[in-house]
Amino acid sequence: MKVNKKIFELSSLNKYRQYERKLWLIPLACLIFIMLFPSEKKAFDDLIENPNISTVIGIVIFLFLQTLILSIIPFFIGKIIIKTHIKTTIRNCTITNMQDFDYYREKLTGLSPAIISILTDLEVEQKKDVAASVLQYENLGLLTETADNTYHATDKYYSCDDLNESDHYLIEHLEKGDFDWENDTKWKHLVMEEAISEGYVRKKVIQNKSGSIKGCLVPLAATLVWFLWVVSAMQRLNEFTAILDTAPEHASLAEQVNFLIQNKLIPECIEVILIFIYMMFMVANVLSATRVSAIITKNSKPVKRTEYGYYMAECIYGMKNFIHDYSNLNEVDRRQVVLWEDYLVYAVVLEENKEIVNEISRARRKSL
Amino acid sequence: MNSIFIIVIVVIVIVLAAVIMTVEYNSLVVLRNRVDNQSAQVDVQLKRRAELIPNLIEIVKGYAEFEKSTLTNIAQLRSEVINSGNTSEACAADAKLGRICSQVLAIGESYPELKANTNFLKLQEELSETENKIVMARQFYNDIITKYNTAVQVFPKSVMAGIFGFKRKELLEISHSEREPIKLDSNTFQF
Repeated sequence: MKVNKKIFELSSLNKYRQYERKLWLIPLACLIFIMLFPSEKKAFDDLIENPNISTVIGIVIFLFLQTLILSIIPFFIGKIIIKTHIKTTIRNCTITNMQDFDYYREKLTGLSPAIISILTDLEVEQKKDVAASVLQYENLGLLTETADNTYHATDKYYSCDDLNESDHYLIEHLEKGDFDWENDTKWKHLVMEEAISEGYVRKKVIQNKSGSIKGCLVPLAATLVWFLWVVSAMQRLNEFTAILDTAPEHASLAEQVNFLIQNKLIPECIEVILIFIYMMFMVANVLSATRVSAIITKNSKPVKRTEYGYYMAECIYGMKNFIHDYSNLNEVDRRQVVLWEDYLVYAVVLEENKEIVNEISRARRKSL
Repeated sequence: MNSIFIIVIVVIVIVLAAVIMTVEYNSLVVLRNRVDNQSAQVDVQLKRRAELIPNLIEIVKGYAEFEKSTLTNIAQLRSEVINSGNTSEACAADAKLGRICSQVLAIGESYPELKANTNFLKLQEELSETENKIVMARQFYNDIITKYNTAVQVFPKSVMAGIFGFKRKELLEISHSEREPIKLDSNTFQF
């Protein structure tokens, strides 16, 4: 079963994530450093003397291995330091205030399980969120489950005025038995709209991903053009270096320029300079590769948290840490909700207790 | 060559053992600190309720007079809760104090003037909230104690626990005397 790795974003973690992305500059810096070494000049001299594909491949592999060896240790040291800082920041969300035992519980009062899920994952995970909602309704005395695994709304539900539209929808359809447990888009939509209207999240402007990816292909095309240019210019460059080899060794700059003019080497000289400048611009390939990978892997959720949403998300993560560190709620069964009240609901929605989710799903399958 | 190889192996084994010992010791320290943290949380809640008791007495006093022995009993139990250095003893004293408190509140509800008193209602709500927090704090305390006790007894952490003196801790349990209802004398309150 594929498990999606969740990346939880806190505003205070953004800088560490930026540092993590910049770590990829270490191999690039090592590559440039290696290419400036005199020993590498011999490899390029060999390439110029024997311009064939096997030499190119050999040099590329050689450069790759050298870059890998030189950059792997600082890269991983940087990764470890940044990961440690990230983990410390997340861990520090745990309650430390000795005066307010219920600090996070008070902060989260009034938040429905589905909104908690939206604040943490930026989407509704129906199976888990419905299970947590059912547990919450049972805890509040709004819903009861009968022996034949069907649900009935209690009198308290009918006299309760504080429920959201999504709660009414869920309870009524659970009672009727026609709630789509796999994917009820109407309920998901209602919950998302409530999260937006309460100011926890806002809709994202949809990016033109295909346009960005096409734009990033331009530097790659430019590299290909450069490569073809170098291959076609190889003959002329060989003649150019052959004539340069006949130049006096300790000539002044003026004498060297004079030599170039007399041997009509100025166009080749300009061509070499242009090739070199063009090569420098190919550092843009690194930026485009980074951009393409960011577009592909970046969170493609339709909403993003507001400032208030980030604040509440930190409180939610504090609650999760508290439940994880200080309780055995991961082993508790559904009937103990009378003892643990909303803590158990939080444990279910924050994936600390998966057994209750499975239990409710099994009960639902039995009733079908 | 063989001796160098053996020395290298021995050094690696020693380093690995030191690393494992350090990790296990640190995890036991973390658990012990969490137990202490949660114990302090329980104490805070108990003291919070104990501090509300004088307010309750003052409000009800305006409508009824307490017998001297009742007041003495309440003061003594309150002192035990506040000054106790041990969470178990504080909980035991608090349990008795809580039952007296509940009786006072129940009697107070029988009188319309007292029931309509906003301070009394507010205090009633605060006491109920604190009671709930005490219950939760005790449950979490027992959970973290269970985690700590399990860690101290399982191998290989039990080895570290034995070496460094980590011992099992007692859960907060309700004693037989706490389960018994407190009987208030009919002369406790004179209205």
